[in-house]
This record gives sequence, C-alpha cells and structure tokens, in this order.
Amino acid sequence: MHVITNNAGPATTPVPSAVECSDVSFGFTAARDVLHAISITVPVGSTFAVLGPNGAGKSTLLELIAGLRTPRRGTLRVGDVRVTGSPSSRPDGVMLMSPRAVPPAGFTVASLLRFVAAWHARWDAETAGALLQRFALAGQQRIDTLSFGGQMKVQLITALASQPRVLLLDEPFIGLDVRTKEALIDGMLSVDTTQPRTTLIASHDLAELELLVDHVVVLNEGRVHLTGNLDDLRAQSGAAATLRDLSRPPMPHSPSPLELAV
Amino acid sequence: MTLPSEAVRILSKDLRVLRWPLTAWCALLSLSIFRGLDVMPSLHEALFPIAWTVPMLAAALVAYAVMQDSPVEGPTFWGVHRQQPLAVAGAKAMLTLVLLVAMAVGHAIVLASHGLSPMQVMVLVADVARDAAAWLLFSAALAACARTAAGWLIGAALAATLAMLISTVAGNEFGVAPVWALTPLSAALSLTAISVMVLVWTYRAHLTGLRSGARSALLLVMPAGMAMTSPGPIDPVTENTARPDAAMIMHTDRVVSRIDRRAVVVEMPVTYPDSSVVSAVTVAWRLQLRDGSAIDLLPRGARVFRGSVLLQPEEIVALWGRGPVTRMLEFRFPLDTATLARVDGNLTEVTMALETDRVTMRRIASFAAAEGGTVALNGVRLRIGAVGPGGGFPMHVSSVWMPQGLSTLPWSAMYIARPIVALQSGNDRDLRVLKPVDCNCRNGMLNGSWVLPGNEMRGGVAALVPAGSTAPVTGHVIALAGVYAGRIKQAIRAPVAR
Repeated sequence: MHVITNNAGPATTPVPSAVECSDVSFGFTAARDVLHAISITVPVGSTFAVLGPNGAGKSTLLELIAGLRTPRRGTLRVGDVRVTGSPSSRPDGVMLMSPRAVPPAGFTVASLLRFVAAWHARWDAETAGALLQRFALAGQQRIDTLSFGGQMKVQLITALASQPRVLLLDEPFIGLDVRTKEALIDGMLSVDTTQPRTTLIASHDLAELELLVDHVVVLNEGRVHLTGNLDDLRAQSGAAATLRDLSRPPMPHSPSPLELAV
Repeated sequence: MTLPSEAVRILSKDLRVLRWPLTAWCALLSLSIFRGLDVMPSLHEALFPIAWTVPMLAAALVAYAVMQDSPVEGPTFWGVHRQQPLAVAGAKAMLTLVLLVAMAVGHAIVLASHGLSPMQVMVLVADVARDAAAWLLFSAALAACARTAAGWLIGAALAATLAMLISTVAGNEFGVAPVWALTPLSAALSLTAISVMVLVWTYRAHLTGLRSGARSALLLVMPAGMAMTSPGPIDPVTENTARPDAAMIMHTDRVVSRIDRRAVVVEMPVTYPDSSVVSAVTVAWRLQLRDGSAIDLLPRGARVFRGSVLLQPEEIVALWGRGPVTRMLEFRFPLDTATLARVDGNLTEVTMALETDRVTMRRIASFAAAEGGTVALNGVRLRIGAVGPGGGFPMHVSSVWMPQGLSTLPWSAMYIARPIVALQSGNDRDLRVLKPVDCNCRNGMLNGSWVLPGNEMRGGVAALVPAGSTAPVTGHVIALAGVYAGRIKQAIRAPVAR
C-alpha cells in the first residue's frame, strides 16, 4: 500500500500502487540527467496524465516504466517487480504504445495482429476484432498504406488487445485530427477489462486528456512540478494555474466538406 | 514461446518485410550464376558488376533487417512487444545464414559447371561461405551500432578504406599487418566472432542501456577490427585448404662462405621435402663468429613479397619431385668494411631462420611439351606456343586462355585452377617447375601484364632449366594444382666448412 500525495498537501488516502517511482534519475549520457529524482505513485486502476512541455522527460519516464531503459538512481517498481534493466526484471503486463515504435512494413493489419499476438499471453482476439470494426479498419489493409492516424489506431489495438495491467501511451494523439483523436478515445473507453487497468498517458496538452484522466504529474525540465489527483489539484490555486497553462482551449469541431454540403 | 521459435517467427517477419528486395537479390544472384556458367559469353562483360553487387546487396539487406529492429533506438516495435533480445539477434543471424546458403548454392553450381570435383566444390564453397559469413555478420554488427543508414554507410566506407590501406601496406615489404591477420581462416573466424559478440551485446544492452559513447566507440573500433582481420586483402596463396604438415623441414648439413667484393657469400645445399612448393615469407640470418659474437642480418627487408624468391639468386621458389630434392643456394650479404673484417676467417656457423608457406602440388594433367600442345583444366586452357631457345629459356612461350566464367570463381578456386606449368625432361626425379602461370583475375599477370577474363595470355614462362642450355626440350608439360598446406617456421643451422 502506498500513499498518493499532492505536493501541496499532506498524505491522504492509502491505495495500492501500480507504479511507484522513488527518487528515480536517468540520463542518456553520464554528464547530464534528463530526469531528476522523480517520485510518483500511480494507483492501480487510475488513468494518469504525464504532462509537460517538449523535452520535459515524459517519454523517457514511460520508457523507464516499460523497462526499456535503466534508472541511473532511485527505485522503480511496477507492481511487485523492481525494474533494474536486466531482462528478468522487465515488468510483466506492461505495454507501451509509442509513435516511434513503428510497425514493420509489408504486413496487413490482420497479419500484424496475428504476428504480435504470439508475444502476449493474455491476447484478446475479440477485443482486437471489435476495435477493428470500431475504427473501420479492414484486416486486409496494408500497414504501410495506412495514414498516420490509421497506424496509431492499429498500435492502439495491439496495445489494448494485449490486455496489459499497465498501459503506457506516449503522445497517442500527436499529429492526429480531432476525429481520429475522438475515435481513439472512444476505442480506449470501449474496451471493458475484467481486471483493473492502469493507464499513463504522456502529453503536453491536458485538454485532450480531460475526459480520460483522474491523476496527473506535471514534469518540467526533468523534475516533478506537481502531482496528485486532478480534482484536488484544481482546487488549489497555484496548481490550477499550472494546469490551465497546460490546457489549450478545445479546438472547435471542423465540419467536413461532406457535412458542409449536407 | 521458446527462444528458437521466437527467432524463427522474427525471421519470418524479416523475410516478409524484405520479400521484394530479396526477390530482386535472388534475380541478381541467378544472373550471376548464369554469368558464371559462361552460357552467353557476349554478356559476360556486361554482367561483370553483378558479381560484386550480389554480396554487397546481401550485406545491405542484413544491415537493413537489423536497423528495422534496431538495438540502439529508443522504443522499437520489437522492444515494446517484449521480443527477447537474443531471439531478435538470432533472427538476424538466421537471415544471414539464409543469404549465405543461397550464395553457396550459386557458387557450387558455377564451380561444378567448370569441372571441379564434388570434394573441390565442397571445400571451395566452404571457403566462400566462411568469408561471406564474416562480411555479412560484420555488416549486421555495424548496423546494430549505427543509429542511421548514414552511420552504417560511413562505418562501412571507413572499414573498406582501412581494409584497402592495410591491404596495400601488407603487400609492401615494410608491411605492418600482423601475421595472424594474414591467415584467412583466423581472420574470418576472428571477424565472425567479433561481429556475433557485438550483435548479441548490443541487443542485450538494449535493456541495460547502451551508452552512446560505447556505441560511438564501437562504430570506430569495428571498422578498424574488420580491416585488420579482413579476409579481403589476403592472397589466395594462403588459403588454408589443407592441414599444415609439421614434418616438412628444409635442412642443410654444411655451409661454405667466402668474402667476395665487399660481401659475405654463403653457399648452402638445402634439401627440400618432396612434392611441395615453398615460398618464403620472412627470412633472417645470423652469422656466428669465432669470438662468440654474432651478426644479425636483414633486419629490414627480411619480409619479402609473397610468392617471390627468398633472395637472389635463390629463385627456387618451387620444387616438385618424387623424393627430397637438394638445391645449392647462394646468398650474398653486402657489409661494411669493418664488419667484413670481423667476419673474414671467423665465421663458424650460419643460421637461416625463415618462415615459409608450403604448397603441396597435385598433378592434374600433363601434355607433350611440343608446339601446339594443349590441355584444358577446369576451364583453363594451356597451350604451348613455341618450344625452343629464346629469351634465355629453352622453353619460351606458353599461353593460357582463361574462360570468362572463371572470374566469378572465388579466389581459392582460382588458385586451385591455377596451373603451374612444369617441364618434365629425362626421368621423373628431374622434373622442374616453371614459374607459376597466373590465370586468375586477381593475380592475372603473366610477366607483368594484366590479363582480362576471356583473353589469352602470351608470354615467356621462366623455366628452371639451366640457363644457356641448348639441348632440345623433350618430355611433358605438367599442370599442377597447388594446395596451401600451412605456414612453417624453421631455422636451418649449419657449421661453416673450411
């Protein structure tokens, strides 16, 4: 059991943690750390926004949690597993969706899902099929002919169908139009999981995540600026101002040419 | 999933991703085989670049497959889907194996079509596969260190430049390349082992965090290592197709010395073992004096060109016979006046330490040493153009016609196909070997002239027949194939006779 704390307030409610970072630091070179003494606790079943400007260390933090990088200092736990960087310490049931993890070319959507399924013991083909329908993707479509948004949809399908206990989404909506964003969010919300799923979503825009998240951590230059329950933070004047800065005004829905014609 | 099944699954993914480039590569490989078969000689020259393109593209394909699943990139597809690093590295090694098998089959077809026996084909294909495996795995390891295709290209260009540089230097008498790097087997195995280690390490380090500094160091060290161990610059004479015979010893039992025109002249009868050719790599001398001191000679210039004679006038680089053959060798050491004075009358013992390559000879054909006499060997046609005194040699002209297809053969095959023309006269023990007639592309020189595939070489072939002899030449020309039998270090020591 761990305690969720707001930077501004005392300890409140004890909840089980899915991810716990304690004074975690990391750097790509020995000379410079990009994450400095990060301490956050992500409660099981929560949807956690990792916010911050470009270069704040959001993606790096998710990669550390996924076990793709090794913390230089501090302790990082995912569930009961301490992530040390060795293959055996790689946390099970953690799935990272990253725009940089480009699916191999030459596959159709269906063949890619079959290929990927072999590496996920809890693969749910029904979920994959349902999401394919929801996203209006045909199994015979070639991955490399899909738009960027289409490829992100396929990545989200693989991420959700693998039924991870901890789902890490690195800038899932970057470069997507409003409709595709909405489709992805709908897809995420539509998946009914039998076990609690913890989700961390990295973004620089809180506005696009407001429907999804209940907790946030704001990073700035590799340091935790503030963290805690979103509602609690909004009640604090200083934190609320920061959160407002991270929330762009929602973009108006642009009617498509077809809608205009109608 | 087990590790092997995971690797096979990733390999199938790679084959799928690369299916169109692989199809194009297979087409080029087929063209290369077609060229080697000499079915349409008119296309031979036009298709020449393909012989080089096929292995280079194979290296590029392996590199592409590695970079698709890069171990140095951040979140990769294989990383986020929890594929085991060793399985990914294993899949790349298996892709290399697939390409190697395809190339080996192609070589086997070409070699067999030129009349080589199944055993010869097997040995030669193993040679080709050994070198190609080293190159392809090097390419894979380089790609595993490089973050981008540009990085891989720079690394490959650096490696090629260094290899050529070292090759040039190694061919020089002041060469600096270590001896171990000049043995193809050790070089290829070293390169293969280093490449596999780097490949596995970089993939394993994907999880433990490969430092960019280490990656940069590898990018610099790998080309240097490849260049030093590159099988490329190695002369085919060192192809290790037979085990060294430790029993092969040259020996002498006496030395005669004299002072002549500001030089010490040493004469020694050296007995060579039978059925072999020796070629000096390094020679060093020690003259032991009566007062216990010694003079070491030839610290520089001890390295001689591979395949050349020891030193003038010991041009007997090759000997062949049934039973041991003894030749009187004479060596001349110009010395300064003071040293000459020390040596004069005080020389008690001479030691010649030398390193030689031994090549065992196999008779593969013989034909009459008469004008117009001809024989074909593995596609190489030898023809006696003229027999008789001329240019100081009793047997003046021979010619070698090299078929187009031979240029696609591996170097070792060319060497085996290389005939050494021997003049047989009198009894078998008196067989003398002419200078080897090179008829391969790489060393396709006859008396200093490069010979292009498909051309006929004409020129004098130096015959080790007593100069000035006017006796008519009779007998047979023997075509011999040389098989490298190892490098031997030995010291010949003998007391100076008075």
